[in-house]
Amino acid sequence: MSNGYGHYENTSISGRAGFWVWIGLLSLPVLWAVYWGALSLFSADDFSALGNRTPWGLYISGYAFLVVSCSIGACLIGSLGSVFQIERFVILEKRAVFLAVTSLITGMSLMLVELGQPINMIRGYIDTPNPASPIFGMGVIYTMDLALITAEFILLMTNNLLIARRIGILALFTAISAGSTVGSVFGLPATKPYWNGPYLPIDFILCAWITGFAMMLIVAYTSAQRDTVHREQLLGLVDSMGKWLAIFLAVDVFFVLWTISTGLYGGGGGGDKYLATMALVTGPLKFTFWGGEVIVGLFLPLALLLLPGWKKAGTPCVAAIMVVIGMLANKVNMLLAPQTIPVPLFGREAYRLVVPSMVEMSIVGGAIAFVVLAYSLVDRFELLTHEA
Amino acid sequence: MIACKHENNVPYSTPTSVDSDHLRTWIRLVGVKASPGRASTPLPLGCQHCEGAPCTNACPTSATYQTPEGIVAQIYPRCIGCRYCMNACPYGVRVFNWTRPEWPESMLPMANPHVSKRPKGVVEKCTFCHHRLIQANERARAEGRKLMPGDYVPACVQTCPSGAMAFGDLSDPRSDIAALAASPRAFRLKEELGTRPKVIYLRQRE
Repeated sequence: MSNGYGHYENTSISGRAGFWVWIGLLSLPVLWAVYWGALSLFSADDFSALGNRTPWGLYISGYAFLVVSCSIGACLIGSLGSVFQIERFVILEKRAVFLAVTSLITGMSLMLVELGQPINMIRGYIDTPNPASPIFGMGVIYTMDLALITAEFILLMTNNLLIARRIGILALFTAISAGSTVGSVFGLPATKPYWNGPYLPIDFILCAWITGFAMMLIVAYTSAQRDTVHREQLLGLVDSMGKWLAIFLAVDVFFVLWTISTGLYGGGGGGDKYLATMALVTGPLKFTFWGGEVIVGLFLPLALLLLPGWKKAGTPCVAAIMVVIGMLANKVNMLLAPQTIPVPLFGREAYRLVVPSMVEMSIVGGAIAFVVLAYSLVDRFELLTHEA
Repeated sequence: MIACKHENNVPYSTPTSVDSDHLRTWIRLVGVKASPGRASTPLPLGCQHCEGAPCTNACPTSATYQTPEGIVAQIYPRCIGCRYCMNACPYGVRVFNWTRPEWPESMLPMANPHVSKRPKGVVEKCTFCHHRLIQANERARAEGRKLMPGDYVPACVQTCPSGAMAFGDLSDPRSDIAALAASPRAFRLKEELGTRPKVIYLRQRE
């Protein structure tokens, strides 16, 4: 079956040219992001729109999106094949674990730009650790997660499947702990009532499942377009993952509904949680909340996945792309909502929305483009193709 | 506020730093209303040096910690600049060095040699002029005596022209400061959070 490009067809001159144009288009934002990232790290100036009253912004949203939604999500879906041995998911395991590793490393690189003194972290984590800090726990668990999923990936690529499965079990539980610990970074301090509580650590796990299914659905669909050998199997997976995605989105509707309802119920005494919720509902974040998170991220994909009249071959893939966009919007909204509200000690003036700077958008956009670029390259050269 | 800046080598703010919310100040004036109908009263707001400080729990590298005397201090070479402490602080009194701090050439000789100049990328805050406590302790030790009331006061208290600020040892029940803290006029900011600030304000007399 091999034609020099293995299982893949469409290797004509135009197909190859189109691929390299695609790689070129992805490389531009990546290089742009590397340039601005290096400048942010080494320059005496600051290029973000952040300030003392909004200390966290798009870098943290991008980090949470990449290391929780994408990396943990891909790890969860990969585990369906490698750990739970669900036969039809085995075809995706290498691709899933590769995406988990790439997203995690990219997310961690974003952290380099976010941290003011990243070098101090190495010494601080060893010499003067504070185990009571959720950020310390997050750093430790994610380091373990990176080591485990990298080992799992290497073992899968070298066909050591039995050891890969054992490492995969450890990686699965470490990944869930890691994602949940990122939620605890927001959930533990009592200062921001909108974040405080057990909800976010749990919600982050649900977000990972949703993004994982959406990402791997896109991967399965795009692979099916060119993999002549496994086309039927991959399209079957698209259908199956589309159904799972719809179920998880339906659950997420209630997560969003009750987050908003508990924030608004009875006016909340006009407290911080109420104000943060109002920032989403009618305040400065209403477009990214209603437009990005609710309509594009939830209801349109649900309609595309569930309404029989709309069902066409590429429909689940379009829905999945919308879900991924919605999940990014979810992280932006979650992060900014409590930071936009006026601080009582400063006189409760109007909402204060910090629109991310062009540099922040370029760096986060470039980071996401890098994950797509890396996957496109390894996929093109069939490094992750499943061998039965 | 000016005394604080001079004492602690806090760079002066520019209009740009104010507009971009990059203001560097360890103490600021905020208007607080005693009740809805009343005019707001300006209060100096700096680190509240909470007994249950949320920032010390938040810091992953123990860069912010509580000294045995109860001061919430900051070790700048440990700070990784994650700004988690800023999000954890209920009073919004921590400031981040968003850019490299700069002083006019003519002001450099006036810098306080006992206080480090902090680089870009670390979080700063009021330390109750912790270096003065260290110096006062050293002086007392050299003179073979214990630290006495008045040996150590922060720069803001020392320079306040109207004596509106008082400083002392809260753990000593016979001290003047303990008597003021026990006054029925005494209140703490955001007491409901249970952070137990050691900065105590007094309401106006009726």
